[in-house]
Amino acid sequence: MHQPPKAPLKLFRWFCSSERVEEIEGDLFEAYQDWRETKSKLNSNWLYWWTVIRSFRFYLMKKHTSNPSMFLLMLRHFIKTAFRGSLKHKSHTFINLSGLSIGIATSLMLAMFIVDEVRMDYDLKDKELIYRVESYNALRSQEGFNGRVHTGLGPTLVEMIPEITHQTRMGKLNWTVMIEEDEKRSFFQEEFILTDSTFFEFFPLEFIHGSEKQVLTKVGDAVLTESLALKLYGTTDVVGKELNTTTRHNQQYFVKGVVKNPKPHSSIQFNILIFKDTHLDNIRFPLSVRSATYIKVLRSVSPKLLEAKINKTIKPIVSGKTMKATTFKLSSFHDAKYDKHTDDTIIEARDKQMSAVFAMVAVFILVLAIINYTNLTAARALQRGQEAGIRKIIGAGRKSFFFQFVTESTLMCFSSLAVALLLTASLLPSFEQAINRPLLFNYWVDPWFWGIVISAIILLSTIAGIYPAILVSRFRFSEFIKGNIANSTKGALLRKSLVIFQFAVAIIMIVSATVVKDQIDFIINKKLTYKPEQVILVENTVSKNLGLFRDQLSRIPDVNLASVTTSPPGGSSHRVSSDRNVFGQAIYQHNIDHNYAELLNFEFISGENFNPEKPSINEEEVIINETLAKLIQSVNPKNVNEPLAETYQFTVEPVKIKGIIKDIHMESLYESVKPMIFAYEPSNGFNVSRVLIEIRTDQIQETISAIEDLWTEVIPDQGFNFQFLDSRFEKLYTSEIRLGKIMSIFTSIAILISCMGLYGLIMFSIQSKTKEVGIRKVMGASVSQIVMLFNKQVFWLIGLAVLVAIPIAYWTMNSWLNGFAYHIDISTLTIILTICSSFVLAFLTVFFKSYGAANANPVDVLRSE
Amino acid sequence: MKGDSLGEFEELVLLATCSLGEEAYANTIKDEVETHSQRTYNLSAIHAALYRLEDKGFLSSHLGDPTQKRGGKRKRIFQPTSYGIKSLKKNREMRESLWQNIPASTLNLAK
Repeated sequence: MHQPPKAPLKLFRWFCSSERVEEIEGDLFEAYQDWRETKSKLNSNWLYWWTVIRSFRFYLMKKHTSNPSMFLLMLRHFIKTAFRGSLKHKSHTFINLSGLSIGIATSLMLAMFIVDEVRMDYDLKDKELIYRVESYNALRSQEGFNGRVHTGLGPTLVEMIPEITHQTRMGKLNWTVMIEEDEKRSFFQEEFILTDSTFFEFFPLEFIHGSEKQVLTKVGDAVLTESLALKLYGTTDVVGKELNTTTRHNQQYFVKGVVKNPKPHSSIQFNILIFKDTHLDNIRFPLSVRSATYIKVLRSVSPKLLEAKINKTIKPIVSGKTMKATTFKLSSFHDAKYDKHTDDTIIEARDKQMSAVFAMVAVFILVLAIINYTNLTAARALQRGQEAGIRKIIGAGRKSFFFQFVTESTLMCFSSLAVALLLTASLLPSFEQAINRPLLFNYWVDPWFWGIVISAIILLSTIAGIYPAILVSRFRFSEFIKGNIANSTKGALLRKSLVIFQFAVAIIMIVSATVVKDQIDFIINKKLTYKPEQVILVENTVSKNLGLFRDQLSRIPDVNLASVTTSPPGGSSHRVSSDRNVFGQAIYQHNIDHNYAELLNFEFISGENFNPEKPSINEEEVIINETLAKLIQSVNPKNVNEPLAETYQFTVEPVKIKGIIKDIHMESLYESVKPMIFAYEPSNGFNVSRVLIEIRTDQIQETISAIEDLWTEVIPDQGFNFQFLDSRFEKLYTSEIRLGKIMSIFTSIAILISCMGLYGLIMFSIQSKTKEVGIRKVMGASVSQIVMLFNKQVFWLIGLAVLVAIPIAYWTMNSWLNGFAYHIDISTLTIILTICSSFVLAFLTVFFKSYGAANANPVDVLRSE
Repeated sequence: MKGDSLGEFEELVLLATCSLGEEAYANTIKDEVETHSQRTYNLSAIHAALYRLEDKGFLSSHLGDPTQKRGGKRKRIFQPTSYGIKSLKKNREMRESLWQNIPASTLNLAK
């Protein structure tokens, strides 16, 4: 006797109806015995399986009580009634459809951007093994962690710690490439990364010419991206060509390879890779250049233990006070990507705050839209209560109501999805522009995208259909037939609280959007003593002719004033800070010339500006700001009566104080004003400097070309790259400006949806009270009294929403504002205005609808019975 | 296949049932059909044909005794109804009459 396999038998018993199961099972058993006589066991088993599978026939299936044709019939019925209903109540359908479409479209767009953020670097090989090494200097604790470390560290780590398998060091620089062709020079400013040959171990790229092994092996090696090769030479076949930069005249570079452009979704972006000169890199040297250092570790390693091991290994071999006080930390590639405070110049930190705001707004708007739908549908379901009553009498149970409402909401949601997709497709380009970032991935062809969108919509329809179904099925049929459930208070509390929630969200968004906008206006416009839109900044140059250029500029009539400096306002200033000073705080030095103070409208509290006639005296004196002056007075290191008259060694040389100016902002307003000295530095041709040129605003184009002509005449070997100071400032606040734009867009959407919800609710409230209104009118009520009757209940709701929303908004925005060193206070006026406007908005919404009802002839209404 | 007509495969199964007498159940019918038609059929196809024939009234059936070989399960034994036999005969007569009309020259083509 051979035992047939169990699994197919179980399957068979599961689907086969009980009257046939015995005989067929017997037949199968017998057939199996026969097969085993002639065939192998494997073959027989397979045959057994196959026969069971072939037996999936309709006549054998278990019969269920509700048969499928019934199901289809009901479905068709529900779809038909849903269609008829939505055609009959056009305004209701319109409100529902537009609210849902806008909600879905908005959330869809936001979701795309969030997914973009999440999917960055998704294809980077072994990214969980990549760590960035960061340093922390106990002597300069206020600076926090530094994304760049002693350049000798990387190779030492690989040499001494076996768990660390690879390292690569990188430094990003903007250099100017000079191409000479037929005696004509053209300049291009490009993003260079100085790095090791191990770069491709971390961030693999496809080579078009050359190969990983042959490039970046010695000083002078360069690797271009495909697009840059095309831009510079017109072809990608450029291996062996010479590449000159004006930034380093004394070094020649040769193209050793051409790679495909880094993918747009990669964090590592560059145009040229240059081999990093390594012969001075030694961890034992006390001073060194800093490089962003990335390491790759073995899979089994815990980063915390490795961190401890690194510090233990490195500490004994370093020298110098600074290095002895330095400890190292590992930050995973993912964390490094979102760390806005620790900059390594290589990866542009992504804005987590923006993603969080996006996610929150997306969820809120979707919730608002769903609440709209649920509320309106519930109200309408109660209004057509007699239909439900009759369904109940015929025998509709809770399941049937559920099925009906979910069918309706599914239809509605999918129609909205269609509209939403059209909306998204047409609005996406302008949205990309608004937040100044195109989408990285194409979602329209992604099967995952469609799968998730469609399942989300199905989920949404179920959620939206459940509440009306439960509400309707709770009534007894006698209540339906009496026809008074439209006025029932059952579930009204929930509906009202949903409206309160909607308005609370809208109010929070209004307050936040206003505060963000005010703060941005404040930081961009208020605190400057000069007009940034009139100041041109010429970027980094090293030339001994800069002074000459500055002086010659006065020949151009529309140029007011020009200044050569290391530190234009608006961040990334050249700073020398020293912890050896006696004041206990790092002091920041900016090198300026005699025109700088006038150009930026320095207000002198005491003392005076540098005198161009006496450069030697100027070099022994500095101008300081108010913050430093206060610091000197409070510390008073020499313990004298007049501390400001003394000579101090702020940075390198002992200097006297020539003048004190009122504080000005050199950086983003997230930072408080630092103690600063402004030192005189005549243009000597060795320092990297920038030129600030103040122009009169009319005739901008001509003035700029005149300046450029002068530049090519005086400094022919360098490219002329310029920007306006206001755009430089805006760059500091890009994320805030974007936040402001986005907030205002979505606030309008939230307000729109909330008002739609309110409008719909009032519509039903009015319809169910037509008789009451009629009787009141007959008794002598005026139109305004009736309008106020409807408004009164709404005002209650808005009032409660205000009570909930204002504290939340106040608290959230206060904590956002506290991130800035200088910020506005949330004004009472803003809050009062918001409250008033939400009342006005609600009043108008209700007024539009109720005015008609109040004006109707009471006879028509009362006669309708 | 609708209605009362007898399909080709059904006819085969019905004929096999007639020839087996008291021993006609799915497995034996399958063997019988397979030996005569010189090809194999899946057991489920035989089942389907049998139940359909019963539905159409060509077959009747009753449950037999359980046997050891069937793992203690009873078998369903099929018997042709008189209507079934009549239909078979009708089919055969129809074919015979068609055969009669074939000219000898046509039959010779296959020689």
